[in-house]
Amino acid sequence: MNSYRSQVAAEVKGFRPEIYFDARKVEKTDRSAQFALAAAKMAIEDAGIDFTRAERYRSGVCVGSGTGGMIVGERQLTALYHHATAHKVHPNFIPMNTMNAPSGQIAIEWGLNGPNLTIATACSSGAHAIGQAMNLIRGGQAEVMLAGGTEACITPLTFAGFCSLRALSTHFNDVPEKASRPFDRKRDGFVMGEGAAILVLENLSHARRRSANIYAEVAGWGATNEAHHMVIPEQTGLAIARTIELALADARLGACQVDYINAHATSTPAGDQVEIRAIKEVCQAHAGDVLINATKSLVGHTIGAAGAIGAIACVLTLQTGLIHPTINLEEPDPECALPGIRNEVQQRRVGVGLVHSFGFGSNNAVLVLRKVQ
Amino acid sequence: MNDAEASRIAEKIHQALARHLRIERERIRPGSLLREDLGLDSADTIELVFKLEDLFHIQIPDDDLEKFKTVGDLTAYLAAKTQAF
Repeated sequence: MNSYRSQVAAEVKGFRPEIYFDARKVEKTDRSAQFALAAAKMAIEDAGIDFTRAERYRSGVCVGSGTGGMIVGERQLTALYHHATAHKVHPNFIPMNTMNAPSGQIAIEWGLNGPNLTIATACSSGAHAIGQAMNLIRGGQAEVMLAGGTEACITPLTFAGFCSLRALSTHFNDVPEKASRPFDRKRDGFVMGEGAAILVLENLSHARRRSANIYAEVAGWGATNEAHHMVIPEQTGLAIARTIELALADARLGACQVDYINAHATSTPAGDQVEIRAIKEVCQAHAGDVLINATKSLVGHTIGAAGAIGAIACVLTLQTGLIHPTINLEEPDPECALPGIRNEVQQRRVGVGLVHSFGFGSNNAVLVLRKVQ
Repeated sequence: MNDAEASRIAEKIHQALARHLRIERERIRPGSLLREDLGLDSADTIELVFKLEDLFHIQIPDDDLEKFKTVGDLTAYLAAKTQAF
């Protein structure tokens, strides 16, 4: 269909869900739950964690999603109106479409009887899910949480909705690989992506007891609401700055200890500027020393998965000291330029990293991740 | 309905069941119990009925679902139902 203003999307190609779980479950799950199930399996296998019977009520799931099972939702709505009979709505439409299908399916797949939550704060869902999972562990309700986000909403209706909202890039339809360009002067909207990221969070003694390979510590987090506008960020950046400060206070760290920021940076004209304004407000003179990148330049904006994908990028940066490039940054916009944002790989020892994640509904979340000594 | 027509319906149902349950066609026999032998729970049965309604262009009233204990019950029911058209 060429009536879409934007012609660019970052789809996951060649995904084969039957590699990750039983083929019968494939028919009973929306792509968003399939991504989450696949990511959960990879995370559990990488963590080498074995959920023994005794531990299952202490092990839970918290997954963020912006839109839920949109693919099945749109198909069933189409079937209903096309056939004009209610009998054509599939019996599994509701369990496939519901927002908490991904977190429920993960629990069923792995026998996790602990707290099971779904967080819907639009584009900040993934980061909020990790923060809430940390709260559950801190509060003693769980020892292990599978936490992250998932999204699969590159669908005719949702894509049209974002187009109509003028949120997506339109000037790079002929060169799609150039369309996602956070902090660049020519950026003109985000590129819709899809995918999932799941992390295994556990309390420190649990991790030590099983000699886990500890990638990083979730040291703290902050969450605020700008109480301002459903889709437009508050222009001064003070609300985001306050979120960063709250997150750092939760982690008992100061702004000058931040080495790296995985920026929210969706490549929209207003959003990227506000974010840098906030970083400068919090870090002051230190802002020029902080290394910053935008993972969305590489994979597009994965909506409810974005904060969790950013968290994984941050964790890997803490491990390797490598900061991936912000690609397509050809001519930095002076309104959101900082020396630490580069279109090249940077390398430095990174002890403390932030993950920024902001969402429609005036939502902000900031995670603080720290290298484990 | 002649025998050829009846066995055509049976075959169609056996294939649909095999696809639905992702098991080999040979495992499905007229005497197979849907719940005990083939492992259909109540949600699976509703899904299967949805598929069969689509396949045979019919509607199956909910009150009839409890009649389906075996594969043979389904075949006989659908044979009668399609004959009525």
